Amino acid sequence: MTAEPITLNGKKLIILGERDGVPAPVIEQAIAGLGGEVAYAATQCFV
Amino acid sequence: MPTNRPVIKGAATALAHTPGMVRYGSKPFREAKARPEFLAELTRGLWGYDEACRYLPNQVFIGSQPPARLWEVEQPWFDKLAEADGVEPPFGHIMEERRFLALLACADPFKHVLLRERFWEEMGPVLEAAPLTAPLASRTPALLTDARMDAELESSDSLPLFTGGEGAPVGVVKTGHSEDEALSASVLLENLSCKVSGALAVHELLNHVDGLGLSDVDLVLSCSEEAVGDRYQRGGGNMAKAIAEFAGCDLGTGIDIKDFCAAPIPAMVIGASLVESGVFENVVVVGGGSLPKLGMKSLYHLEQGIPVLEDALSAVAVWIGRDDGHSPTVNLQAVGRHPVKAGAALDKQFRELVLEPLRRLEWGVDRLDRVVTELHNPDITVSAKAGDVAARNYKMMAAMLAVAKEIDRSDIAGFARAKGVCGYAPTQGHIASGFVYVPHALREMAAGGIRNCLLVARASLFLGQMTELTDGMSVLIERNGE
Amino acid sequence: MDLEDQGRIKELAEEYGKDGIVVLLGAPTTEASQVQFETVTTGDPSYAGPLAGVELGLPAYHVFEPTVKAAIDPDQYAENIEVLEMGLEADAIVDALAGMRAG
Repeated sequence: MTAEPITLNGKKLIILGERDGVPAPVIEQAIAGLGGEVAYAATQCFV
Repeated sequence: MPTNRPVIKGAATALAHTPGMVRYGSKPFREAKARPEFLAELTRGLWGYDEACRYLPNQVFIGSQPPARLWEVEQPWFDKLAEADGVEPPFGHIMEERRFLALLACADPFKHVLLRERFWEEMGPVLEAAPLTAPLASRTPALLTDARMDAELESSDSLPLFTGGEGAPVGVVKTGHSEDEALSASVLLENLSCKVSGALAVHELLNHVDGLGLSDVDLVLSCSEEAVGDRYQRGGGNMAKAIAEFAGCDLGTGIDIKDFCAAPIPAMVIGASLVESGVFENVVVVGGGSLPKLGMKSLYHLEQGIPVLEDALSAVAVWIGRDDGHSPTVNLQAVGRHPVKAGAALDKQFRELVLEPLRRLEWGVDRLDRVVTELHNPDITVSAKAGDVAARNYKMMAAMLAVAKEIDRSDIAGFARAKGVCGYAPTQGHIASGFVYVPHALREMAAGGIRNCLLVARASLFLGQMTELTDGMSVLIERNGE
Repeated sequence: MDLEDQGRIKELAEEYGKDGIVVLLGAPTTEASQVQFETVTTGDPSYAGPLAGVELGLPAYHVFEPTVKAAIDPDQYAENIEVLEMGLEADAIVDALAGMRAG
């Protein structure tokens, strides 16, 4: 089953990345061009 | 023929069990400010010295147990304390808090750390009697009578020093300048903690290797996590020189190397390069302990009713010198670096830090016997919902190698056990980087267990908010003659 | 979740409302993903931060979830996220968040 793509167009985006997971800049790059505006992006380091 | 080819001639560790200082870790300090009753909860969760000595990860840290022992004992380890065997540890000792606090005052030339007279009367002879501490205790610190101590403790900007978090303070740290945050009592305590633990690691090194005397050390490189400075130059330095002076390396000088938690590997690479170039002959790379990281995950630990495991300052010292024909070599042809364009993602980091150096050497992964990255103790991180950092690193490294067709996908699951090491280091980032493993790597190479070891360190530069990037560096050490 | 992050998220939620915001997560573990999801939907489970007891109800997704993956250019995903997905407990994270959404 293919999932319905999420709509980011017109949305303010809050991006919570992690250094050992997906860092915020990587998420920002991946969703660039989908119409959302990054309102807040942070990368956590748990150690 | 002797050459300047850099080799690692020795490595040592020092662990200072400082439960009474956990309250001055960044997280506990902030929590206690918001909620004063937290201090009583914290104190109830602290271990005594005996428990710290019997804790398996600590025993691996000082070399009393091999890292492979960690694969054999099921996690968690905090409820499986071993019996202390009384055998002299191979890499360094676990220091009891009272000695460490007394040394803090001995290390303070500006007399901001004041000890209770009675406490020093008791501890001075103890420090004098031990070969490790006697050289560090030649200066009598500033002392206060009980009455004067009580008066000092009333000052709001000074910090009392406790043993085990209970009882009357045995000392106090005063602020270094009333208008300078860079010289506040808490910053001075952080920096002095780093200085003392770093100097202890240097002395453990001197006591554990042949051929290195105090006057042989001509350069100390500090890769510690502190920032020594004043209001006009925060982080100005130079911790390395302060450690060199306190340790008694009178003919040496010092420089700090900064790169967040990755700093030890750049420091080793720079030290090895300076030896190879002939500029310096004997370089000691030292990482002192990080006070702010004590009790970093203590809220999680207390919530789950487990001991506050981040209760020790950890330090490592590594001696890099000229080729002696038998010590493991630092292969400067195989330094992995992390270019700006590589980005922040973990798989891309490992591509640059693991795969790229191997390809430069035209090595397959099968030729690499050991790869070591962040060895944070999973007892501390799993209970804090952060997972097993070492295990995660190895899985990601293996996934990257499988995608690059260097290993088979079926080898991903077994990669950590085949090439890696289980985590055991205190969550003091720079120490937990591959640095902590250097003494074990030397021992395993001497015993013939491994031919080589790639040390990999990573840095979360984005925490300083000057760049969104991460950094990292790796370096290969090899058995001499490979 | 970091208290600073919680404060910023609260401000943004007050400014734009839950229909104007999407939260994207990149945590490496199931537990951390669950804590973040809970914090921006039903409130801070640790009761320590600005979102303690605050039900923002923000739509939140991990980037490994199918609906996010479907929106991202496949080449982009392959280049920047696929290996991370392979090296982390992606399936468990996806299942856990789907479970929390289902209540």
